[in-house]
Amino acid sequence: MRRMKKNFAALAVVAMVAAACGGGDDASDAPADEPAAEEEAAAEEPAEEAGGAASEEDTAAAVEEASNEDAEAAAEELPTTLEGWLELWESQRAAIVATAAEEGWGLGDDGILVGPAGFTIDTNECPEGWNNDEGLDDGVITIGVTTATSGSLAAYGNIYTGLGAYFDWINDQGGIGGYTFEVDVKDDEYVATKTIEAWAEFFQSVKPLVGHTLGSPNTFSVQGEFNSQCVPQVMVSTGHQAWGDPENNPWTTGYQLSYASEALLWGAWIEANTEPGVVVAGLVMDNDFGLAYEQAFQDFADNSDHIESFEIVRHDPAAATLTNEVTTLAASNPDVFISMTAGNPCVLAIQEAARSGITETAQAYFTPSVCKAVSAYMAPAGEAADGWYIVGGGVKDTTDPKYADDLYISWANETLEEFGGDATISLQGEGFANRGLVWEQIFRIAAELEGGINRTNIMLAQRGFAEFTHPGLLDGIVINMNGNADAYFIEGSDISQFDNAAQTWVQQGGTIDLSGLSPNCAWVAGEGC
Amino acid sequence: MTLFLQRILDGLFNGSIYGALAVAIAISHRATGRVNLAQGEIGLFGGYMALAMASPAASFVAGAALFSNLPGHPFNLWVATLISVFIAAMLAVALQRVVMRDFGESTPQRALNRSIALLICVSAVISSQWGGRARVFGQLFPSGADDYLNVAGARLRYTTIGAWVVVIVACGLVTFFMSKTKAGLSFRALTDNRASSILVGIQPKKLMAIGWGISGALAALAASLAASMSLLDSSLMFRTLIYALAAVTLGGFDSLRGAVVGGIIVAQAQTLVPGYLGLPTEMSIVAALMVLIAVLVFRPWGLFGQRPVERV
Repeated sequence: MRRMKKNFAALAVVAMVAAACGGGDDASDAPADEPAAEEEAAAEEPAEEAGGAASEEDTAAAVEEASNEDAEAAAEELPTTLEGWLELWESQRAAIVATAAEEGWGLGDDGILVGPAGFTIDTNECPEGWNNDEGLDDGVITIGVTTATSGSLAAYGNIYTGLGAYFDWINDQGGIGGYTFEVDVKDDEYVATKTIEAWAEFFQSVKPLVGHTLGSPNTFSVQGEFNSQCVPQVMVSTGHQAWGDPENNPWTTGYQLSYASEALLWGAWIEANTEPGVVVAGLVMDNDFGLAYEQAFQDFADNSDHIESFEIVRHDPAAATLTNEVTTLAASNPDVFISMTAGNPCVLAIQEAARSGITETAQAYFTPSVCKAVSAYMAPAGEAADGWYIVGGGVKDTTDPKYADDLYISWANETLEEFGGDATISLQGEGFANRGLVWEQIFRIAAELEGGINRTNIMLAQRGFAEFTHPGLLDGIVINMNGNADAYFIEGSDISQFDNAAQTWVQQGGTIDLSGLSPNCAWVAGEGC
Repeated sequence: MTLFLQRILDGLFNGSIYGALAVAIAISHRATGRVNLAQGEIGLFGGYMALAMASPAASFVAGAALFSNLPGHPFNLWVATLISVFIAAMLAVALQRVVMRDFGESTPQRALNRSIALLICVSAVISSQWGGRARVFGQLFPSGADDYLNVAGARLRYTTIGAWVVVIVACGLVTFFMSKTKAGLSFRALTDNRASSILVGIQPKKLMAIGWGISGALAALAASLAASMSLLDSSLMFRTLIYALAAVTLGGFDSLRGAVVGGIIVAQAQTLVPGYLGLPTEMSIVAALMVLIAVLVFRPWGLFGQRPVERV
């Protein structure tokens, strides 16, 4: 009996140590040549020289300008009917297609893809047998997606329920360019190694025309494969600044406001709205995602006379609670608390900040843009969510009651429900109303370019996506991309504060516009842009 | 000093969860002589049952529509939790009687494999029914910003006090059952000397089922307490299980008191070691396990376990 107990105890210890030491979900677990943020990388260079965000001066000026504006200020003349919007988008697409024809964008006989502002891809370097039309054989375009639909970031899986519903609606309207669409989602649990496995399967069996990934570590883990296989990695759902690198990773595009821009906007707001000498506390998810925020804000803090210190505690992405981490931060008596996390920890950070007393004494507390979804993260946090600030990336939450009468949002919610979605879930609305519309425009532009929908035209449609007006975003946010000169779709944002009683984000001042001001980011692991 | 005290108080909450699950593991181990690795998942099933009973029928929680046929649904969270504790106990009994009937007679290796298989099966059922998405469980105790006692500048939260009251009451009931009832005394006799107990007419199968039932109930209680302070998701009890295994090994597999004390030590190690050694939080589990390894080296029967004596 004694021996049996000792045997079991030894086995249990080995198993527990193995469990403790395994299962990393950070791209740092990936091969050494793949990007991974390092603590030492922080603040090597002044923020204004870094890529992925506008300069500190431009950012501060934009924040000041926006603070003097009214969020309700009359916007430029926008359509008042859905037909009007359709006409506007058609004209904006036509302008892009006309520019492409005038500028001679396209895939030449020499295998060189030429696009806007110096954007080129040499398809001769693609693998032997690479086919620009792969994934178009049977009239159905499959969009391969990896995302978390389980685990602590599972709520983000709702984005693809919404996106799937959007393409169901597109299919119902007759498709685009003679094709219908299918969104094929694989759950990677936000674990980079599972993302790699999922995409190995996609590349070998499904062979989708385009792919999409959610999460910074996950996107890093397969970015090299996408670019070496010459498959579009379209509008990935992560704001890491590294996606703005059209020269080195031309097949990868981001979509949302970069984390570097968001961090600078936090800094600019803090400088404009707090007394000098502030202590800022950052709760950082310990992976490429959280470290992108941390590095960008550290750069800012190092250059700021206003910020006395930036205290950091990192947390395990899989942590069930954040009590210990927030307790440590509370001991620094922060004047400003910034949550740099995602998924379930969005809720936990808000609750723990309240329980630890941080929100009683701090002048301001920020939750990140990826935690903006009201139904997923703010409502579950309860009363503790009241008063939190956000650099929100300009996105309208489709469940926010103040948009109930918004022409586009109400149409989106009705249509989402009609096609099997749930309009009470913010992130489904995000997938449908925000991202779905842009995906549609990309395919429509590609269909109108010479050669129709294929992989290179999908990239041209994105790289030349100019001056698009999106009713799912706040007025003043322009979606713009311009080849190698501007590699970020969205560079504007709102700064808002949450009103828990009304379950709404209340915009503070006007919309911040930094469009076209973010330099590209040739990301190097351990060094940054 | 305040930070140190706050960390101690923070660790106490986790200690209550680890302690409750560790006691559950210890009881099922006493019943069968084997460790049931599915203990956490059985408890998690109970947690989801509580959620379903406390959620309106129109919610997207699996089972809520089913329970809506019962009068008074959706139930108060406490009522739902108590009913779910009973359901988890019944589930554990059913699993023991049907699937793990001869669990105690299996070799340690086979028993380990079977309990891993059971863990995976119960986990798969939970994932299929409730998905991988986290759910807001609700608050069993007041847990707002002002809900705490000031202890020398640190915050002793009502949730921590409440969790410990629940765990102490539950352990008290188990102790009462073990020491004051015929079934409990039979259970103790069986675990002390199986052969002699059978000779005097004690029915081991019935008592093993009772042992598993008590374990299932305690595990469900632990899951509900843990969920009330964070979120209920399908991975909630897996890590908790690792800490609880450390706790029960530390305290001794044959000591309920040891399991509770082990839970407190493991939770404090998890809180204090990374906090003061500057280790990444991912390493907190390693800190707890290092304590465990040290105990196994110097006192392999655990802090409160009985040193095995063999007749020669």
